[in-house]
Amino acid sequence: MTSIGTGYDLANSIFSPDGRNFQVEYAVKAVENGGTSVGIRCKDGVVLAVEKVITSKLLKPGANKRIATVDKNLGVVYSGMVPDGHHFVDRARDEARGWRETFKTPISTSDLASRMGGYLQAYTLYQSVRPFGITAIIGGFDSELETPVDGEVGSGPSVGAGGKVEGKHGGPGLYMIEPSGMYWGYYGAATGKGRQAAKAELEKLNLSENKLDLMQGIKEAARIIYVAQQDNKDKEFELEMSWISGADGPTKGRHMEVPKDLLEAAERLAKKAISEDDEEDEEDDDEKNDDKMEE
Amino acid sequence: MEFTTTGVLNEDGIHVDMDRLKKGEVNMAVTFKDGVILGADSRTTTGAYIANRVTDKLTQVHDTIWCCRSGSAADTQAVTDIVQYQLGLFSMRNGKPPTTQTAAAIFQEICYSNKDRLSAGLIIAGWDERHGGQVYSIPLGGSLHKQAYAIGGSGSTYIYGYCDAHWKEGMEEQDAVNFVKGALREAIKWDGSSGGVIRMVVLTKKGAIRHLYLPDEDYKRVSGRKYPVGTPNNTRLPVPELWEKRQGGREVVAHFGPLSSNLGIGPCFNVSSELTSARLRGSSLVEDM
Repeated sequence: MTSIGTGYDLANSIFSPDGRNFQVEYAVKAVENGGTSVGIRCKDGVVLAVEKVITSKLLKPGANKRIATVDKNLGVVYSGMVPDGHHFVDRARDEARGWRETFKTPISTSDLASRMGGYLQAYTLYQSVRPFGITAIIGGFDSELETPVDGEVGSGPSVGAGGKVEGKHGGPGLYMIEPSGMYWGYYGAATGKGRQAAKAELEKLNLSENKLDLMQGIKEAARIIYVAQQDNKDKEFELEMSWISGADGPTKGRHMEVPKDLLEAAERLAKKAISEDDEEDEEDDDEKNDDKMEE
Repeated sequence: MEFTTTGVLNEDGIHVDMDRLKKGEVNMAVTFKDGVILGADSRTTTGAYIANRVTDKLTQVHDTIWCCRSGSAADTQAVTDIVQYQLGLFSMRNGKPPTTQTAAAIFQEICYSNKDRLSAGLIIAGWDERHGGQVYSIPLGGSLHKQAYAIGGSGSTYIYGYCDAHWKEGMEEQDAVNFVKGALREAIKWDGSSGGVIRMVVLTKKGAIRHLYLPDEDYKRVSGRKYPVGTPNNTRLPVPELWEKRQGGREVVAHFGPLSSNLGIGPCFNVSSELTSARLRGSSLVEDM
């Protein structure tokens, strides 16, 4: 960074002459050192996964969760500074509650992303604060159900409200918010240390075709976290995964942890997949050696 | 001159007891195959005095979200003004129109948190892409009820049986209009404090269309006015092209009898009721509650 020491990197509220906010760029650096987070938007729901780096042997396995539930149907995972992430989650919960209070309906994934994007952006404006040292991935499922008629007896009206426009309403949503407050909607999102490898793997899944389902999604998410972790194998980590489906799916519209048996199965497959990759690499090497011998 | 508390005109026929609210009116909203229909009579009373016989109790709060007002005219106008503002803000901030449920929730919050001070019975009806036509009722205490159809106001007590017997799920538009008209006619017939013309608004994906039915015309439809989606609230559209010519080619205007002569169904039929309601604001007028 050429501009270090010029003084333009000391505060949020001052631009550098070439139009950059260095505090925000430093915050991105903090994110790039964090454990990898991944989000996959499947056709029937969303999967969130994170590589939780084990900082001490004295930490209880499975405790200190990194994926948080913000509202019944909304989950958040983040890479970067964990305390900043906790504050982000607190704020997201406040926003979700406030929306429910005002509109008597759960906040949609896109609206939460919009609210939190605005919140993070405000932390890039003032001298007295620093930007968030996290990039957060918000996953949610906006209910496809209708609120029933009060006093409905039995199955209620058979026809229901008239004049609905055909097409899909509600569904899975996935957004990623950066320290600058910028947010986009994604088919697959990755952030943290292993994001490059993770993004490459996500692109191979052709998520825009909307064919991958949740059961495949958790396997892919687990595998991608393991692939992304390959570059620093020395660090111990734990895989944490959550998922959200529609009302007729496995989580019944709620954001929850992936059940232990499914998580372990996905982890086994992931380990197998990366060890096979290693073998293939070795085979390739052998072939090359053979070539050489022929010469 | 002494003022009585009976809600009856004094000898001079002018002085009216403004403290006593005689609530009487009827309004309703009904879901049908393509959306929802709101309907109301047009009587506003101060005691026994009919302060306005052509009131417009169907009020727009967003493109395809309207409400039937009953109770104090001042209270319900004030509440709908607030909600109209909130919904306008909502659609700008979120880049999408509010749902009927959102509108109903905002209405409820106001009605519940001010329950001791308000006299407002509201029926919220709206159409949105996601949910189609929907009806929510907010009676006096500020509770919120989602219903397939709702009736309200003093005149509604006379038509519970009629509605139960005649309402069907997923009616065609014309059947639904006839149902609403039939029910309101009964209410007007039996309820002394309901009366005047029948106004309706039909909400579908095409937008809002107004209907007007006059008693001295045997409640045949005399005019309609379209509010396509995106029409700014409270726009006063020029009416003429939507005036339906009667059979025989006579202009409706020419045919108006004694009642219709002063209905304000001139080039801008809302004007008279608008002016009247503006004049009424602040007094304890009660709209065909």
